[in-house]
Amino acid sequence: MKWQGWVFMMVSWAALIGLLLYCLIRTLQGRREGPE
Amino acid sequence: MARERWGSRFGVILAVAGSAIGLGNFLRFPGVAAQNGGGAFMIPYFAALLLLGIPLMWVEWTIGRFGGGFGHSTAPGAFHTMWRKNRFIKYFGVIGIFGPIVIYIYYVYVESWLLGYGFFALTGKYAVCTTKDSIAGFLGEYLNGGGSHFGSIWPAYLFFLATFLMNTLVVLFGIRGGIERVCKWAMPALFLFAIVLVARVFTLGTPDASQPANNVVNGLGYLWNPDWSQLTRASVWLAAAGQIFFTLSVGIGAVLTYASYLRKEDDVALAGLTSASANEFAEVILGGSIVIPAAFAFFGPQATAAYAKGGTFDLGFLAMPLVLERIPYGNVFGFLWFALLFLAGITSSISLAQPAVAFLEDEFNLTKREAVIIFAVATFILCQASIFGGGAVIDELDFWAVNFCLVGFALVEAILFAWVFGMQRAWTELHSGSDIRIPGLYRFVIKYVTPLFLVAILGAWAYQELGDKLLLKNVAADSRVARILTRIILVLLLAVLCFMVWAVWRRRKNEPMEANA
Repeated sequence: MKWQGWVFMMVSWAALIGLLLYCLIRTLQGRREGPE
Repeated sequence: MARERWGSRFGVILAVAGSAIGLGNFLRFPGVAAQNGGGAFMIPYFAALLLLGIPLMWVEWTIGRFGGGFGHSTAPGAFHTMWRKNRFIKYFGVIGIFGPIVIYIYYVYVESWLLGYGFFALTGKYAVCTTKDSIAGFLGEYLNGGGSHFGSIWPAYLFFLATFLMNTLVVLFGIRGGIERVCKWAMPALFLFAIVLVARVFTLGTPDASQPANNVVNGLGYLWNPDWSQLTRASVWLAAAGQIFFTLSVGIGAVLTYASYLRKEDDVALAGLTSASANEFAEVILGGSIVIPAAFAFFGPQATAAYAKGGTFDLGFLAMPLVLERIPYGNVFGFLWFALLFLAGITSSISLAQPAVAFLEDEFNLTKREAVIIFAVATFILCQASIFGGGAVIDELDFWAVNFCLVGFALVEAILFAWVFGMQRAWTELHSGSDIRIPGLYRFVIKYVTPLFLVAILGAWAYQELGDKLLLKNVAADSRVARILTRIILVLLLAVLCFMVWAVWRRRKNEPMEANA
């Protein structure tokens, strides 16, 4: 695999894992932040 | 009669994620990505996720919860509550019941193949097939009967009956006792099976020492190495938008129905984002790490390209069985593969059944049992067309339901939400009970970018495919009768649903609609 392939894979994985973790943590916290 | 509700936040998130995570995550995505620029494909893919997928997810969750507040779990009622002055909008909502039924009547049949293949993997029935041609012949004999492996269509039909019965029972047990309960164990099991398979694929190394270039790392490279030249092609951007659209299950009507069982104070912004991110994790990280790298390691680049070009069925039913029967405990891993796909399938198909059942319950005041029986009898009859009509019928159903119902329905939702309901009111409704604050930029995205994106997709598909499809060009002559009959059935089904909506609203003409939540 070329180095660009590694970069695309790692960046995509990191972004999606980060988003999922953020969502799961916020869901577990159940914090309420209503609209302005 | 008290309205059904979800039992927990994670219950509804898992149910919506289950609806979104289907065969396409593990079979369609890797093939589409590999053929459209590899790593470079992820640029239009993520752009479509941010500008089309996630906004539509929020729109559909919000419309669903809003409609549920007025006792409507399906689009005709939900749309009517958002635009009461317009007496035609409820008929656009019919697409949100029609589309899921059309997909259901072939999806359940395809799902039953997975149940069958899971059984065959354990019993080693297809292990005698060691080439692409022989395993393709095995699938053909399974579906059509005859040949040395099956002798008749009965095995396939029995697996269909079992799958159909399972779907019916889950829906019969209701939102909390059926759908939520199933998704709460099926989704963790699905992720576990997928992680086990990814771990096994990543440890395949170089299966054939005489072909050192055929290894898992190069298989990942086949999927991820960017081909920048592809980014200049409009078709690649459309393919990315289409993949995002289908993978998130937006525009079907199922998410709208699921969200209608939320309470007014329940969050939809974070829940919608969580279910979308779970789907993307399953698609890009898990789905992208199984079938393409495994096929590449065993068959090399040319054969993998041929499988990817062959599409969903070639990758799932031909390439993976051939790969898995070449490794130790291949029957166990084969079973895990088909069990994974079956769980992805059933958590999607039950979401396709729910809109029609909910429509009968809400608008005709039927009990759950009555609604499920009517739905089951009607769809059982319609499923026979998929089973005995061959690939032409499934192709027709898939084309009209997926290409036009989904995109058209999503366009109606986006315009209704942002332009008719009003962006200010819609934004407030979206944030009601919200656990996160959505960036203000998305007001602009939802109002302008998402509808324009949808018009572009619809226009491009209509330009590229509609004419030829309508005139039955490039189809086998012997399949034309089946295709025309399928279209007649679809038109009749749509007409029946429109008539039902007309009858309900005629009866209620003078009844005031009051919020019950």
